[in-house]
Amino acid sequence: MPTCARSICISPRRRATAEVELVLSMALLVTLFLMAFAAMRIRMAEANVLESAQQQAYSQAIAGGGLQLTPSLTLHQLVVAAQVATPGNVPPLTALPNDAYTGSARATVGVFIGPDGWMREGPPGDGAFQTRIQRRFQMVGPSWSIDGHAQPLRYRGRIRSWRTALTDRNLGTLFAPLKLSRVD
Amino acid sequence: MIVWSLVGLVAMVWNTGGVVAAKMRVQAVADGAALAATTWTSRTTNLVTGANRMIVRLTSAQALAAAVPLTARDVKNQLDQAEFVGTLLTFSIYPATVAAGRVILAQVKIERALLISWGAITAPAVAEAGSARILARIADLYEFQVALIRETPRLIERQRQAMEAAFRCEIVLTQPRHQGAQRQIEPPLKRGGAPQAVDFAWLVHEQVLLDRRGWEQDLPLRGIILGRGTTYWRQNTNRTSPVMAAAITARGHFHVLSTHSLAAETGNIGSSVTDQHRIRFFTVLAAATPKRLYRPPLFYQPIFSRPVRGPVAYAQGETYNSKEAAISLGVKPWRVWTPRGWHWRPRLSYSDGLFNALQFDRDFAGFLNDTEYRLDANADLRPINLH
Repeated sequence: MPTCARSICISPRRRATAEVELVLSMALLVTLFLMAFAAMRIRMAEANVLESAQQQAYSQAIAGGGLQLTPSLTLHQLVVAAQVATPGNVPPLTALPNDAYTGSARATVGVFIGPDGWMREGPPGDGAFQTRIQRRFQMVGPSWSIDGHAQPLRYRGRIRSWRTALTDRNLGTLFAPLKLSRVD
Repeated sequence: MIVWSLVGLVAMVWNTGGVVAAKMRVQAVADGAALAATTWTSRTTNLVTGANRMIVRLTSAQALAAAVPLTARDVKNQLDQAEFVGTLLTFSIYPATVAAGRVILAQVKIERALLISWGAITAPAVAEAGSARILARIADLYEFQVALIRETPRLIERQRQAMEAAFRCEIVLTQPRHQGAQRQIEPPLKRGGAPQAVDFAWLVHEQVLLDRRGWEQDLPLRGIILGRGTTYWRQNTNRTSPVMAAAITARGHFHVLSTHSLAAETGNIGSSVTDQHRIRFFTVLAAATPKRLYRPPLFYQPIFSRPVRGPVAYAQGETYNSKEAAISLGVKPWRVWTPRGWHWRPRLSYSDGLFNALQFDRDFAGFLNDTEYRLDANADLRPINLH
């Protein structure tokens, strides 16, 4: 029989139900908050890893690292060489393809619940939720054209070699008879 | 309701992070596409400069070779006169005069030998010039320039397609002067001709001054004193230089920058390259977006959202001459005829050409306008130019 000591009647079987719901909802809410933080953490790490991969590719290009082949991407398609028919007195342009550079970076992201914080990075296998992120980035051509860096020098070196060959083929027989200037 | 809101929060964080990463990736693709395209326009400009330099040098060589027989004829006439004078002097009644006449005759004999030696050394070059082989080489170089300039847009297009396949992105390239379907990326070059006749003749003459010093300082020609070898060499090369330059100019066998106007190449009138010239002829704009439509990875519900285009990014690259700050002998060294004209290089630049590109290329504008940006006015471009 319901007791109606006051104006509100509560069934004895439903007593403390709100408290139980509150406890359960707190656990759910905490879980959801943790999931939100974990999502933010992973996505931030993804952005960082992608940027690191880009920086690696840029630094390789600036340092003149040269071509790197990776099986997963159609890198060879990026290397486009000039196919222009050159007459006999013009050196071929086959020595002037575009370079391609690849950067790759990875990171392990962990989400921990512990006394020192909601989230922290920890060593792999620490018993917490963690995931591994890997990103790869490719770029084509002499990347940053900054004076003094190796890659633009190498690029200019190729042009210079072509120029020397061009001079030799065209003026080679005329230098001695006409005593032409070697300065260009 | 609260629970669903929090679930939505998780999805929002996750999806936002995904969009940010995709945006970073597609921005890198746009940067790479713009830079790769301007790499080829820079290379083509450098190679055309190289061919131009060779055309100038060959024209100079042709002028020198043509001056050799003229100089030999003049020197021979001069030596004949000297020999005649020397012979007359030997008939004098005064011993000193007779001695002077003999010295002159001896010197004439030496100089005739030097002249023969000079003729023998220069004969191969004269024969080469006489057989029109030098002019044929100039014609070949010009044909090479034409082929290279014609091929460059195709190379850039092949490269764009390769990048599309590799990065799984749609990539659009444009220059802020082309209209839609006519769009192709071209180097900033055009065929030279009569308007550049004075500039070309001046460049050839500069080269002749440099090249003829070899014989001016060498014994076979410098040793011809009575025959006035060096004097005639200079006079005749001064005559043949403009003639040969005019012959090449009439054929139009060289190229100049697209921005070249009458007599602007020497730079004495001042630089003709304005910001608008730079934007129209020297820049390339690239836009990129993922090929697949974007679907939020978490809690994607067709009822609430539909697949949309992924993030779109754009970039601007330009070809520039790294030596353009230097000025030497009144010549703008970034032009395509001078030795310093070899220094054309690509770089990414501030996107000040986007407004022009949107005005000229409606396809390019449509590509960008499908995004969240509204790109109808220049003022709208300012916030996104600060990327």
